[in-house]
This record gives sequence, C-alpha cells and structure tokens, in this order.
Amino acid sequence: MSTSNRQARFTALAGLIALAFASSAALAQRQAEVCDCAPVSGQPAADVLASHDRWGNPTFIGGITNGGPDSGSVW
Amino acid sequence: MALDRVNNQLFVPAYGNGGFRAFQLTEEGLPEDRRARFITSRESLIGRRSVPAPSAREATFPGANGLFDASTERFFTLDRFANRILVYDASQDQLRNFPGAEVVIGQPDFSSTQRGLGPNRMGAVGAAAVDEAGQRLFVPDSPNNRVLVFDIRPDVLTNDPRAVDVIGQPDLESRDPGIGPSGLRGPGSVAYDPVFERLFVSDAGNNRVLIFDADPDNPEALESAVAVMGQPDFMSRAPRESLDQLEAESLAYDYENHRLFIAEDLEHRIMVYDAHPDRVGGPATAVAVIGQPDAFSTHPAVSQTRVAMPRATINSEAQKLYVSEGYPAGNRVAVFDISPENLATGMPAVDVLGHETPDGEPDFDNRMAQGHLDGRSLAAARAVVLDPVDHRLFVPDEYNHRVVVWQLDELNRIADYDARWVLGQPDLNTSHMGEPTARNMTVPIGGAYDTSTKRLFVGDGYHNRILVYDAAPGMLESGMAASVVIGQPDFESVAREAGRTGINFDVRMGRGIASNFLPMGFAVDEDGQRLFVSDGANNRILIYDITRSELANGAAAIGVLGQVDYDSTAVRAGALGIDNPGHLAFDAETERLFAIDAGRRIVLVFDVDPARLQDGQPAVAVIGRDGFDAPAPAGGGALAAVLGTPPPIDGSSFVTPNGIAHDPLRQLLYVADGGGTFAVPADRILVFDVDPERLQNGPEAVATLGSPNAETGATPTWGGAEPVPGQFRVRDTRGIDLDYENGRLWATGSFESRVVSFNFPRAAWDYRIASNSTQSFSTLDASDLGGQSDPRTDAALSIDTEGNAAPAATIVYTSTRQTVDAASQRHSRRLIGEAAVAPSPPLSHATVFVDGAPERRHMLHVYNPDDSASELALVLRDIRGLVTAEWQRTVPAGALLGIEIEADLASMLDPAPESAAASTPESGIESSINSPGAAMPPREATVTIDADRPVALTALRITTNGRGEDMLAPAPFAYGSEPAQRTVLPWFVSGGDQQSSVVLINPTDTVMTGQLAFHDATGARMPLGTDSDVIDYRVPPFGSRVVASHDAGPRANRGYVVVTADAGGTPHSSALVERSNGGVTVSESIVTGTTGGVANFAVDLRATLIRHGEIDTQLVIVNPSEDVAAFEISSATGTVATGELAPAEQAVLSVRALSGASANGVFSVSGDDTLVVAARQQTTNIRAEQVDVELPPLGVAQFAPYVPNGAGVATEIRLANTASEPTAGTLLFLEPDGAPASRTILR
Repeated sequence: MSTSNRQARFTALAGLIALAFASSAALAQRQAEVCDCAPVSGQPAADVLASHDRWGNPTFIGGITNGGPDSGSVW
Repeated sequence: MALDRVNNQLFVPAYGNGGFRAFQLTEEGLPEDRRARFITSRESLIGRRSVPAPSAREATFPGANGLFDASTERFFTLDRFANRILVYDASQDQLRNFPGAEVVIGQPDFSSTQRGLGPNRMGAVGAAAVDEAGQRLFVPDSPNNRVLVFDIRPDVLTNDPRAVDVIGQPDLESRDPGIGPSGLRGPGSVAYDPVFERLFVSDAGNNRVLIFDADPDNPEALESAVAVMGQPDFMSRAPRESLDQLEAESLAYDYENHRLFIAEDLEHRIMVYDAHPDRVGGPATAVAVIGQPDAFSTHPAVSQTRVAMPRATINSEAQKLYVSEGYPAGNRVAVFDISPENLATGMPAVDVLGHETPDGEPDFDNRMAQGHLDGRSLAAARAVVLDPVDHRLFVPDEYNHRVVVWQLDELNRIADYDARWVLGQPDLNTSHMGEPTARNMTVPIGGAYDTSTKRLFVGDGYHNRILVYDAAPGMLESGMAASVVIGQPDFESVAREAGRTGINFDVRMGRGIASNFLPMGFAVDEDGQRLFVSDGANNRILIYDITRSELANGAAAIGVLGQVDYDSTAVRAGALGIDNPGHLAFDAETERLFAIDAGRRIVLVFDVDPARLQDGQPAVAVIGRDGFDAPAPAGGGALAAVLGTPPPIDGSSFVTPNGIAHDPLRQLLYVADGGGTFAVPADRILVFDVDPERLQNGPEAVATLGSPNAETGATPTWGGAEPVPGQFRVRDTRGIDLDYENGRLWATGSFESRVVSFNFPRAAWDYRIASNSTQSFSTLDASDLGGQSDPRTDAALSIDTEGNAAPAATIVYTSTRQTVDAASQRHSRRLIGEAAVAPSPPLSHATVFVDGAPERRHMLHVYNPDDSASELALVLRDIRGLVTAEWQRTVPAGALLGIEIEADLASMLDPAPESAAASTPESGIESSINSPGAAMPPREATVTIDADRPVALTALRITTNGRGEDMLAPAPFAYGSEPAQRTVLPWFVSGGDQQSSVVLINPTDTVMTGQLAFHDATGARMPLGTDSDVIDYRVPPFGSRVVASHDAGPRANRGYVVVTADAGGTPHSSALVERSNGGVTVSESIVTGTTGGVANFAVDLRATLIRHGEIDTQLVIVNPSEDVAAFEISSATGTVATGELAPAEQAVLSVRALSGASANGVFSVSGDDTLVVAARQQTTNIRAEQVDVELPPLGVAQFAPYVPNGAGVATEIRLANTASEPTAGTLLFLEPDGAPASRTILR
C-alpha cells in the first residue's frame, strides 16, 4: 500500500489516465513497463504462496497438516 | 482440556478435527509420552477448518473444551459454536473408536444449533463443571446471566434435558442481570469443590467470584451465595483498581489444598487464591502468580516461567496445574507443580506438551502450532506488502510473530515458494514470543514499504508500535533489528496510549481476528515523506513525518484524522469520524488517502494534500454508502454465529471491508470485502473507479475478483459443507497490495493462511530475463474441483524480441488431474503426461511418424506467421512409402490450425467414402484417398507436410491408456537437416516395466539402408531386449521402420543405439520409451538427443502448481568415439560436474544429485564435439509413477504454434537467456484466427 515516487512516469502518462479507463481502445496502447491489462470479474487467481499439499507441492487448497493422531504438537 | 482420572490421561483439543488428543500421564501427573496416545472424533490431518455441519461425532467449535466424569466414565464436549454439550461414553478408552455422542444437552437433536432461553436452551455454553458425587453438571450461560444445573445421572440423562435448577435467576425463563448474593451478570466460568460441596461462579460482569453452598441435598442453597471474592460485599461490583486484585475470569479448583486458580487471559497469568471456607471472602489477595514474575507484570511471553493467554486445568491428586495456551501463544500445555511447598510466584514449569527438543527434552521456548514452521507456511496472513522495485513481498504472519519475506522475480512474480528472510524471529524455522526488543514483534498485522528510502514499516500489534526496518537489498537480514520505533519511546516499552506519541492497536482484545474489528493500517506518501497510520482503538489516523533525518524513536504525529485533537478517541459522527480504522491506501497522484472504516463498513476518502490538510478535517467522499449519514446496512457482526437480517450483497456496499489498494495509473481502487469464515455472507474484492472527476459517494464496483460477480454471496460456512476457496474464489481476504505496472493483485487468504496473486488477463506478456538465466511462464489450467474451471482453449505464441537478443525456449505441455487427499483435504495434481518441444522455426517441409494404434491420436498444430494464407499438402504413406491418402488444408494469414490426422481421415471417408476425390465443406479438406476404408492410419506410417509458405509446426501423439488418461509425447518428426552417415540415439531401455522402440523416418525420396547397433552403458554391444545387438534396416522413401524391444524381465537394461548408414544416409532416428505399471502404460516419451560441443537445457526441479511430484532431470551423455572424451556440466552458479567417458561409454547424471532438489536454470553440457547428450526430466507423481519427458536442447525461440490451456492441460514456456547481457521482449498470444488472445492469463 505504499506508493512509489516514480512520479515522472506517472506524469508522463497522466494525460492518458482518464482515457485509459474510459476507452478500452486507449488501453490497448501499451505503455512502456506498464501492462495493457485490467481485472476481469470472476477471473482465476494465478499463483499462491504458503499453500501446499501433504507432499509439499504448491496448491491453491493446501496448508499445514496436524501431524496425525499421535502427534506431539498441540494447537 | 479435560483430565481423565480413570485412565490418567489429559485430553487436549485437536483443532482440526473437532476432537481431542489423549496424552498419557504418569502417576505424578507428568507427561509419560509427549506424543498423543490417540485422537478422538476422527482421524484427519486437517490442520485448520471452519465450522462444519453439526453432528453427533465431533464438536463444531474446533477449540472446544471438555470435562471428564470419572465416576461414570463419561466425556463432555463443550461445543461453543453449536451452543450444546455432547456427552460420550468414555469407558474402556471408547473415545479412541470415534464414537458418536450418546446425548446432547442444549439442543433438541445433534443437528441443531439453537440459541435461546428456558430450561433446555442456552445463550452460550461457558466453562462448565461436574459434581461427580451428586451427578450434576453446572453450565454458565453468560448471555442469560445464569448458571444452569443439569441432572446427569446416566439413567435419567437423555437428549435435550431440562435444567433442574438455575443460579442467578428466579426461574428458568428469566435472564435479567443482577447483583447481590443471588444475581449474576455474564458468568462465564464455574468450578466445583467436591470436598466442601461448593460452587465457585466467575461473575465477570460484576467483577467478582461468588461461592455457593452446593450441597446436593440442599438445592435451595443455590439461590444465594454464601461468600464473595473480589468485592467487599455482595452489592459492590467495581472493577479492580490494581493489577494485584482479583478479576473474575476462567476458574479451576484444587480440592486437595482448597485453592482457587483464576486464569487471566488478557493479563497472561494464573492467580492462585486461598479458598478454604475458613479464610475466603471479601477482597482477595493472590497467594501466588503463575506465568508472570509478579502481580503487576502482564506481558505475554512463552517461556518456562511465562505464559500467554492461559486456560487452566488442575490435577489435585498429583498437584499439577496444566496451562493450555492457544494459537497466538504457546500452542502447548505447560505443566506446573503446585504442591504447597513448591508453589511460588514466577515459578518455572516442570514439563510441557507440544514442543520437544531434538533430544526429547521439553522445549519451553518454542511455540509454533502443529510443531512445524518454515519459509513456506503462514499462521495468519492479515496483510501483504509489495516492494515493486527490488522485487520482494513482505507478509506479516500474525500468530508466528514475524514478517516473512519472499524474493520475487524481475516481473514481481513468485520466484521461489520458499521465503528467503524473516523479521521478528531469528530464522524461518523459529517462533518465539518474548520480551519486546528491536528484533522481535508480537501479533504483527500490517505494514507498508517506502521504495524511495527502502524502509519497511511493520505494525507490531501487541507492542503498540511501528517498527521501521532499513530493508535495502544487502541490508535486509533475517532477525535484524529495527532502526526506529514509532508509538513507543524505546524498544522496551509497550504502553497503550493516545496522545501525539501514543498508539493503541489493542490487539489483546482480539482486534484483527475478525474482519470488522481492525487495529491498524499503513500507507506511505513517498514524495512527501509522510506515513499514515490507522490507530485502531483510538479511532484515528495519525500522520508522521518520516524524513530519514527527522524520524526518531517515539516520534510525535504531525497530523490526525478522525479526531479533532490527539487526546480524543471516541468515534465522531459523519464525515468527521472514523470507526475502527484499518488498512490504508495513498494516491500520490491526487494526494488522496483511502481508509477502511471497519466499524461503519465504508471506505473514507480524505484529501491529504499538505497545503490543505488540517487535524480532524472531514472526509471528502465515502464508498460503500450513499452518504456519510446514510444508515449502515443490516447484518450481524462478523463473529455472530447466527446472523440477523442478511446484509445486501452488491457492488455498492460492503459487508466487512478490510484490505485496500490503489492503482494511480488507472485510478482504480481495490477493496477486499468479506470474511465467510465467520458466517459473513460475502467474500470478494471489489474494484471501483475512483477517478476524482467521476467519483461520487456510493459508487458501484466496476469489477469483482475472487467471486463471479459483486452480487454472488460467499459459500455458507455455518452448518454447510466446508467452503473451499480454490483458484476462483477467495475467503476472508484481509490485506491486499497492487502491482499496477505488472497488472497483478496480491491478496491474503486469512483463514487459509495463504497469499494469492491475480494476474490480469492480456495478450502481450512481458519477459525480462537476466543474463544466463531462465524465466518460466505457464498457463493456469485453472480448476476448482466441483466448481469452476478453465474451458479448453488453444492459442499460438509469437515472440517479439523488440530488437533485443532472442531468448531460447522449451515448451512443455502437461496433462494432469486434480485429486483430493482424503485425510488432509488438500488438493493435488496427479501428473498424467508431459511433452516438451522446441519452438518451431518456419518450415516448408516436414515428415511426421504416425501409427494406427486405436488408442492413439496425432495432432499437428500449425501457425502461419505470414501475411498470406499458406496451403498445406499432406500425404499419408504406409510403411512401404506408398501413398494411402492425400489432402490439403489452408492456414489463413496469421492464424493457427489444429489438424488431427485421424479426424481428417475420418472426415474424408464420411459421408462419401467411395469418392476418390472429395471436398467436404464442413472440414474444408480437399482430399483423395487411395485406400478407401482406411479411417485410421496404417500401423506404421508417415505424414509429409508441404507448405507453400513457411509455417511453424508442432506434432504431438496422444495415447489414451487403460485408465482412460491421455498421455502426451512429441510425435517423431523430421525436417530440415541433411541425413548424416551416423546417428547415435543416446537412450534405449528395456525391462523393468520399460520398453523402447527405435523409430526411423526416411524424409527423402531415396531408399535408406544400414544397421542399428545396440550398446550397453559400458559400450559393449548387446541386445537391449531386441532380437539382436545388430539389426539391419531398410527404409523406403518417405517410409518408416520401427524396431521394438520386447524384454519383459524385471531389470531395466539401458544403453544406447548407433545408427550407421550403408546407403542414403541415416534416417531421422528417435527412441520411443514406454513405462507401464500393472499392464497400464503410464508414460510415453521420446528421446532424440543432440550432438555437438555444447548443449543447453532449461532445467527446473521445483514442483509447480501444475507439476506435482519429485522431479529430477537426468543428463545422458554418450561418447561414441574411440577416444576418451571429457565433459563438463555447468549452471549459472558455475561448474557442477566434470568427468571423462571411456570410448563408447554412456553416463547418466542426476541434476538432483548434483545440484539439489530445487535446481533450476540453464544447465550446459559441454565437451568433445562427438558427445551425444539428452536431458530427461523425470517426475515421480503423487501416484508414485514416473513420467518422463525429454527436454530438447535450447534453441532460439520465435513461434510456438500450440499453447493449450484448460480441461487438464497447461503449457509452460521456459525461456532462457544464455547471453551475458539481460534481454527483454514480449510474448504475444494469438487466438486461432490470429486476433490477440486478450484473455490469456499466465503465471
């Protein structure tokens, strides 16, 4: 939630800001280092951190397991 | 916890399965074994879950408490979320057999969760107590200001019993709070004294403990208390004035020595009071304090002498006190010796359950839940902070008291699932909770990063401070000290205050657990060097000057929002106030601050331009409501188990707003809203247009992430199926952060303790590859089992190098199926098949081997990069080279075309197979068939493709195995180069469930003859499951020949094959290798190999979201010469291995063995020109079956005519830059008709 001070680039693009949102055609013109993209309702997530299956593979539905019925750990 | 005095065991709640773990105790009350004997309710590996449907078998509240009645051997589960008590037969260790409860108290049946009043309903189930001799159960019912008494004699106790008596009310239908000897106000805990037959009632609302004569023969005695502790008389109820005075909290009683133990949750201690009838009554002074060094210390820490958030159970016979500490604290049960001769303030614990040293000794300092902590796990992710410049992601991990730091790649994508650094703890495997210092934190929930000064600001909740870290690359180290502290005068102070220098996050009250009760938020104004801080419990936003030269410990705020001055903390009305401020976002472009107002469920917009900013100024706009004075939407609190009127689920109001992020370029605001974990009926991230020219109060969201749309509610959690927020849905999203340049939103999944990234779709994806590095992209094949999934789409890839050096690439197609592990409920991908191909250069002529096996299909994917259509002439020839079918296809300019050979043949035969020259409008195929009726290709055949304009081409063979699974492999495929006189196939194997075939393709119009010679790894000639060690071949023009092994022995004999031409040069040669398991083919791969001085391969042994399993890459090197040949294997880190091969020797080297399980990047094999090399990626999938794929040597990438996604297939694009300079460019994805594929999402 911090905002970069890379304002020079913002300023250069400032004139496009309103147009960029108002017009998808304008969005189609790629700006250097800024993607030509926008969120789409219902789109899937692309990647995940801190979530893995029992064998350590990354997965969207994962997480730490409880150590089994004879575990020494408690929560 | 519950103490079973019959079997001498301690039951400790097992969070994930709604039951308990049973630990055996010694006669002395100490742990006999620190591993549990068994677990109750069910055997599962679920580490955390939300509220399941009520049943007889398990508690709905995962942290339910228990009671054991030794006289009748029954176990009572106090199931708070379902407002009920389950009664189990616990004789003969019955609990280990996962029985259902025999009786339910508080509900009419095992599926009900009613709250209520009367003789058989409760407002809530408090910490109850059993009178074993009198067979009575005392249950505090705090909301109804009473304690219910149930008759629990086994012969009379049945479902839904009526209370036989009530304490604190004149009858069972009254609920008014009261004072005096008969009144109660919110009693939460009781304890029973079986010796003097007394009942202690923690009358929390009246700040006292009442003592009742509970003689079972005199029930009238329960009408009026006989003594009071903590107050001078029955009519007083003032809170304590000093920490050494009694506070009414959770009770436990030692009947051997007549002592009352009161566990003070928020003061992190257990106070011990003399409660002998002769000495009790009036103001009480503790005889000892356990868990703190004195009666005035209250700081939470986890050690041998300190406790945090304790609950107590007493073993009177053994004189032991068991102290359980929950999730944010010790995740343990500390055991104290409370015999009178040992009891002393600040005494050490004598043992502990939950943490053990490697030597088997009790570990009093560690505290991680589930006994496991590393750099790829989080306990609770409440915020995420992106450093977009140096590519790092900071995630405050609330309950592990740390900030986990991941290194991202050049594009701010996940570079490694393992975190690299940690703040607040010495390393990624440690979780301590200690005294405040500059190096630790307790309950961190928020943060912000200043890219201009490379400083990280972390909200340290319990310490009511902001830690400032100098986190520039090179300076950031695990366990480093913060440079500056804000909110406290020094690193040792933790005061909760207001004022200009104070902060009150007040997380001790649970702020931050629920989504609508927020403690903190941060945003940096980099140009103005201002830090905005939400000071939750003070209902204000503070502004600090963070100019490096000005910022010092205990800095005073320079501005305040939400309050008119620095000492006021009450919520102001309308635009002037802010109620429970949380996460913040700053727009440097317009000098606006966006603030979550959790209490009113809105986002406030402040103009914070320094030229206009004044203390206490009103907000200029509100999001989530039409106006500042509009009423809040209906709906219960986030922790309410039963909602009132459901709030509206739409795009213009929030249910519980939490995370917030701003896009300064597009003027979009992202707001996380929901928290389905706690029965809040929405979970989504709403996107608003906040352009100042257009923003009005109560705007409608323009997009929704994590939910199909703004109007779709969350999956209900209460009494329903466990919601599974996979790839398309989010749950309980708290902090978010935006990488607006790369089009990516990072979102916490608080309950699942995960962080997901949403990459916004686009046709053009940038790549930026450092020198001598790789960079992989993958399509998602997004899928939620039982839910939404990506439909199958095909695209083509064209690489725009933008004038820079072209990257090399390997394209990997992966076929998987999602599975659920029943024990853990975690989802995995079962790898079915993989094929890797090199990007295709434009071709005019190619020959592909096909065979007519019924389980096999052959796909040609053609991309025409030209601006004119390309006409393809396809000719099918049998093993003799005789033409059996001819047809034409057209690839429009810039388009791609998928050709399934078998489908084309079938369409030519139907509907007019007798036609020798047919045109089928549906397929657009111009054809002629020389062998009518041949809907399938011959068993061994070739298809030649001639294009009048060069096209990019990928050929795949798809084999459906006996399980109905489609395995992928490249189809043997010849193009381009002139035939050699000698070719070496570096890999051939037979036996041990593997068989190989040499496939020879003659792409010329001249007969090819010669010999195949089979060698073992030492170079000795021997049959490798083949008929002979030398086999002659003759391949007619455009024909093919297959030589297969047929050894079925148990041992795999490996080696290589030398193809020597007699006439016409050597055919194109490849080895097809099949693996089988129980007669079912589980992998089909092709090995071709490459010859030359240097071969580069893009290697990655790390599991991905698509490729699950243990991955290795084997480098196969053959020295076919008559001289010793030296070789070297190197990666970006330098030389990995060197060696020599004897003449004719074959070597197989494992990258995993050489470079470790996470090896990735470009691996080069260099040596004599004569060496033949192949790289074979081998993945042992979760079914313990091996799937092989040959990685082609890296070549310059230009086109990939086939990029499938969805329905179980994903495409990975491994780019490599082997040059000494970085390179960059664009991956442009195209729809089949050549239009930009703007819906493409990669990771």
